[in-house]
Amino acid sequence: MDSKNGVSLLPEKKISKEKLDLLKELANIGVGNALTSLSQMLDEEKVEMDVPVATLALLQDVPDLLGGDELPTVGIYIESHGDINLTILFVLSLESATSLISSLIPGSQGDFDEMGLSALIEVGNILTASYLNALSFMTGLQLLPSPPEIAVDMSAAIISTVMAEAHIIDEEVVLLKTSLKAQKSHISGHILILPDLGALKKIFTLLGVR
Amino acid sequence: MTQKVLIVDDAAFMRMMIKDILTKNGYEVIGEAEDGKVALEKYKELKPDLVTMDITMPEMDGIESVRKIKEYDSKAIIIMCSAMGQQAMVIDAIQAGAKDFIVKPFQPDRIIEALQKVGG
Repeated sequence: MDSKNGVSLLPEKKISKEKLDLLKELANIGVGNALTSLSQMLDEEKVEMDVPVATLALLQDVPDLLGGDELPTVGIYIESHGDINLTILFVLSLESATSLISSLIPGSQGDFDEMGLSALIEVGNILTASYLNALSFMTGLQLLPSPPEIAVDMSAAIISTVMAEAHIIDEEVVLLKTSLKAQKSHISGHILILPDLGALKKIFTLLGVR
Repeated sequence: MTQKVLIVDDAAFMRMMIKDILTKNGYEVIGEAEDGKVALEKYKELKPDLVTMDITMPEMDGIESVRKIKEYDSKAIIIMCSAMGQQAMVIDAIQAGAKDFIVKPFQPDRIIEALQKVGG
């Protein structure tokens, strides 16, 4: 067993290093595009990202990858259908979400009122769509996102909701995680991408990885 | 004459942003709709000169809504305003009858430029 952030990861033999590297690169380009969009929304502020982590993880360990299952969190998630099925989740701490709302709405104190929540949802929408635009450009696949949903809860509860809505019942999931940070606006968060098994097969075939 | 605009987007925040940009630039926002179905009803009721239309929305998506509005009024001037910049989506929207396609996030200038180009 490998270990990252204190989380037990499954042996990599179930999915080859080459495939994980490819997924990492897709996450890198997709999230790179998404962060360009976030930067534009924050008046061209520099938004940094970590190298994406592609891993096969146990479902129960996913909240730990986000910093702990009892962390109060805002999750904005989108299911994408079309040629493949993917779930994308943008996770922020409550403090970051407050900062994001006040950066986007002039005069706002960052309250989670109707307009504040709408601003967060729209950021999630634009981030995920930018990611999907890049993925579609690279693979030629058509990706159709559903309108975004938002949840404010402990991270474990948010992960459970997302998994249930996406009908992910496997005990282990392939997960792409990228962490991001906009220092000036005090915003940090993670983008998680959860492709289903069929999606992975299609992507690998299309990009010639067997 | 001041041009009248209908803004269609499921996000109240985005409607507020677009409304702000348009109002500051001399347009009159005569209505807002939160999905494609409401957009069609409001179009019939308000008869706007221009429409800005999101794509990913509940009930009826923006591309379907463009089709329905164009069926009702073939002269309708609609500009797509969506985060979905995938080529297939842009082609679908243009084929449905949209005049231009703006990918979110956008600069205020971009939306004004598009409206001026199509609306004269």
